[in-house]
Formats: sequence, structure tokens, C-alpha cells
Amino acid sequence: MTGAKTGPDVTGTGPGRAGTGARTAPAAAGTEPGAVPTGVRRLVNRLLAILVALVVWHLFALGPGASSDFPTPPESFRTAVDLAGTGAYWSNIATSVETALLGLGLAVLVGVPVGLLIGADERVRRSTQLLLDFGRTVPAIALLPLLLLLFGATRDLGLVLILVSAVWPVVIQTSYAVGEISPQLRRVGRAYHLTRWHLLRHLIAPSMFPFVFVGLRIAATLSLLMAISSEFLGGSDGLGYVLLQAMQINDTGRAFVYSFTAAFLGLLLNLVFVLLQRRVLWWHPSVRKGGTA
Amino acid sequence: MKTQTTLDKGQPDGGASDPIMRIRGLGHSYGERRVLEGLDFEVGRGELMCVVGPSGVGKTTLLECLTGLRRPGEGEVVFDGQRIDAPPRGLAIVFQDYSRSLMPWLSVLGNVVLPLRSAGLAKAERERTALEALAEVGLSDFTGHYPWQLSGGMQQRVAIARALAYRPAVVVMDEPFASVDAQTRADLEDLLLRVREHLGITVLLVTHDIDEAVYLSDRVLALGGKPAGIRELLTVDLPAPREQVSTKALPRFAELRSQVYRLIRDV
Ligand SMILES: Nc1ncnc2c1ncn2[C@@H]1O[C@H](COP(=O)(O)OP(=O)(O)OP(=O)(O)O)[C@@H](O)[C@H]1O
Ligand SMILES: [Mg+2]
Repeated sequence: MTGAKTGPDVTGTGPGRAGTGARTAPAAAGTEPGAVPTGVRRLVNRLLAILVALVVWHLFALGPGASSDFPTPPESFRTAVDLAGTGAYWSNIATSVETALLGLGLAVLVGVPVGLLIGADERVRRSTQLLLDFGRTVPAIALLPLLLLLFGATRDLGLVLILVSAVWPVVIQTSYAVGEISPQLRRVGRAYHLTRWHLLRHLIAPSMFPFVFVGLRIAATLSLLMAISSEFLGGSDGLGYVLLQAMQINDTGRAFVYSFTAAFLGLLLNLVFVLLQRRVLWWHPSVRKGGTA
Repeated sequence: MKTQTTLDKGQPDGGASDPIMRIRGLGHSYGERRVLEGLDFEVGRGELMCVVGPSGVGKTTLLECLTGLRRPGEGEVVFDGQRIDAPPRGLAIVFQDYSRSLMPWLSVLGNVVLPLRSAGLAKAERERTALEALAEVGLSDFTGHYPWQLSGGMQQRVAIARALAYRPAVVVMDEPFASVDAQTRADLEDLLLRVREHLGITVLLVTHDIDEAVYLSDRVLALGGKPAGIRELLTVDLPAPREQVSTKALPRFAELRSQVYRLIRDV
């Protein structure tokens, strides 16, 4: 559970995380009457948490983990440094990220227009609801054997897998977003004779964006997950494949580093989206409360 | 222009001698529910008309039909000689729901300028026009702010500035001063009278405030009944120019005021 919690914390108090911020503030004020800035204290707290985790890991590796070659933190660090010196490590990361981004692009290219079409009509939206919920909940991984037959161990396999999993949140959020365009603003647009372009650029797109953005964020996470999973399960080049190889030859040190790399990519992705959200949705209630106070 | 003297008070059908808007047999229902019925009246060019009536009587519905935002169930609206079924150019609206009629992703200036951009005004001109309008409502220092950084009353002033900058022939306002303090309200009322005088625009304004209606209007349209019709179209024969203290001190003001009060109360 700690992994899920560090995500937003690493990136500062994320939007909609008012609770986290509110919880740290009184706690900090309670220990010492405002001598150290909260930011510094938060950083110290985080470093402490990481240190504790490292110590626990180290003890585990030396004790119960020793029989199964569980690497200690210093060992892992050395392996990581070694790997980082090789071109293969970076090109594997690049391959996985590229697959994820390409797949995400595909999901957006397909998902946004479909979402717009579905969202444009209330009846269509209601009648497709069940289908969408079904599509969203079917685990794409279940299609893997079939897709493997069709595409073999290629990047296309990864792309298709990403598409069939990441397209859903995009479709659902986009169709939802269409319904969220304020009728009042539409009336303003009509009354003041805004041009089609201005309607789209200054009214429709910004109204929809907060919702579409949520879809993008979920889709991006899924894309990365699916890219690496498809490499791991299907065997095409990338981080997932080298992880598989390391595990097959019982190289737990490397396997560990590859797993950490994947987790780190996920964190990075999250960070990118938090920053992006602040940049493009600065006006949105979820962002502006923290941003302008 | 002493508009009130040019109006023919005698006409039984609520006529004006040089109407910019003509409403004939207007009626509207929401589903089974009949809200408006049989409205006939005209709005004179340059006239300031207030619409009063109890809450829920159908004032907003009437304005929506008048502006072409809502297609009325029956009857027609003629604007400047043209029958309308969409908002005509030359008409600006200040909505009752002001907080939701500004775009939160546009600055105050951006909100006021956008319709002018769509109208194709050159950059320098539209900015000048917008800044002028913002200065008139006293928001010169807030042009770079975003609507959500302003109080409700200030947001409403942005909406008013947007309407004024649009340089319309007719401004239609739905309770535009409902959420400002008394002093700002008086200032905005006088601003409206001034702007009307300068630009010769026609104003149609919904209000709950009887004092305001009498103070501002050339004529007061009292709505009442279920479905609502014109209770009375009352000519306000108070001298121009109006002035907050002296006009409201006139015995005639008090008379008109109680007259309108009775009209609204006796539903
Ligand atoms: N879109 C709508 N659909 C159905 N009924 C509506 C709709 N809009 C208004 N009504 C109903 O029509 C009646 C008139 O509403 P309207 O908003 O025109 O009143 P109003 O005089 O503007 O009231 P207020 O002074 O509170 O703003 C009300 O009873 C309202 O419930
Ligand atoms: Mg209303």
C-alpha cells in the first residue's frame, strides 16, 4: 500500500488530495510550534520513511530472504549502476516507453472520437453504458493467447493489448465530458454569437478537458502496465522481456532492478500528469484551491 | 432623449410609437405546465422597461423567449422588424445565473473580449472597448483576474461589462443587481441610466426590487397569474434625469411604488 501512497506525495499535494495536506499540517504544527517550514519537514519525513523501508529490506535480505538469493539494497544499487552503464538497459526502457506512448496515442485517436459520438446523444450514451462497463471490466490480459496467435511476439501485440485496455477510460470519460458542457455556457455562446472555432476552442474543449484528462491519466497508466506486461508475457523486446529473462536465469539482482525501473516509470508518469494538470487545468476547482491560496 | 414622453401611454395593447421589439400572442408551456399566456406588448426604441413579478411567475422564461434563446410555444417576437427564433445580433444578455455564465478559464478581460473577437473586431479596438466597459463597472483593476477570484457581485459586473462592450441595441438583464451590496447596486443602477443615455440602448430588466423598477423604468411590466399574463404595463411618469435621493423622495415615486406593490401582491 505504501507504493500507492508515495505517488501523490512525491509530487507534492496532488489535486483532490486536500486530505493528505490537511493531515500533515496539524501533525506538523503539533510537534513543534512552527520552527521548521512544513516543506522541509515533509521532505525529512519522506526520507525517513524511505530509510526505514531500506533497513527492513536489508534485514529481510540477510535473514529469511538469504536462501532465495534476495539481494540487499547495496547489492541492488551496485547492479543498478552496472546496468545503467549499458546501452541495452536504456534502449529497453526506451522501447517500453515508446510502445506505451504509441499505444496511448492509438487509444486516444480511437477513444476520443468514439466518446464524442456516444456522448453527443443521451440515448446512445444510455444504451452503450452496459457495453462500455463490460469492455472496461474485461481484463485485456485474457485476450493475450488469442492476440499472440494473431500477432506473435511483436510490438503490434503490445499496441493492440494497450488499445483494448486503455481505450475504455478514454471513451467513457470523453462521452461523459460531452454531457458536462454547461448548458448555461452554451447559451452564452449562442447569445453572443461566438464563432464555431471560438465555441470549440474557448467553450467546448475547456469544458470537456477536465473529464477527458482523467481518462487520459488512467489510460496512460494502463498503457505502461500493458506495454511491460505484453513484453513479459509475449516476449517482444523491452523492459518486460529483460525482466522475464533475468527471472528465468534466477538473476534476482537484475530482476529487482528491472522491477524497480518499471515502478519508477510509473511514478514518473504520475508526476508528468500532475504537472500537466496544473499547467492546463489551473482554473479548475480541483487545482486552483491549492494553487492560488 | 426623453423617452417617456415619446411613448404613447394611451395604447391599450401596450404599444410604443417606435418599437424595437414587438411581442404578439406570446405563450409558453413546459410540458403540461402552462407558464405564460397571451402576452402582447412592445418595447420602444431607447426605452427602459422593468419586468416585475413574484418568484417563479415566468420572468426568466419570458426573457428567454424574447431573446430567441427559447422558442415560445405560441406567438411571435419581432426584433427590429425581423421575426426571430434565435438570439439576434444587436442583443446582449446578462444572465440571472451569472456565476455560471462566465468562463473560468478566461480572465475577466478575456471573457469580455471573446464576443468581440467572434464579431471580428480588430485587436486594438476590441481591447479598448472591453477595457472601457470594465472601467464603467469599476473593474479596471481586475482585468487580469479570473472570475473565480472575484466576489459574486464583481462577477456580475463582469457579465454586465461583457454585455455593454458588445455595443448592443438592446440589453436584456435578468436580475442583474441581485447579489451586490446596496451602494454598488445604486451605482450600477445609475451606470445603467447613464449608459442608456449615452448609447441610446434599449434596456429590458427583470427585478424583484420594486423601488428599483420604479426608479429605473420608463414603464414597468407587471407579470402575474397562473399562467402568467400582463397584470399591467405601467408608465412611470417621473421626471428625468433620475437621481437616487431626490427621485425616490418624490410623492409620485411613493405612489407608483405602492401601485406596483399592489399589482404584484394581489396575484
Ligand atoms: N427548463 C424548465 N423546465 C421546466 N419548468 C421550468 C423550466 N424553467 C422554468 N420552469 C418553471 O416555470 C416557472 C417559471 O420559471 P421562471 O424561471 O421563468 O420564473 P422566474 O419568474 O424567473 O422566477 P425567479 O424570480 O425565481 O427567477 C417556474 O414554475 C419553473 O419551475
Ligand atoms: Mg428568473
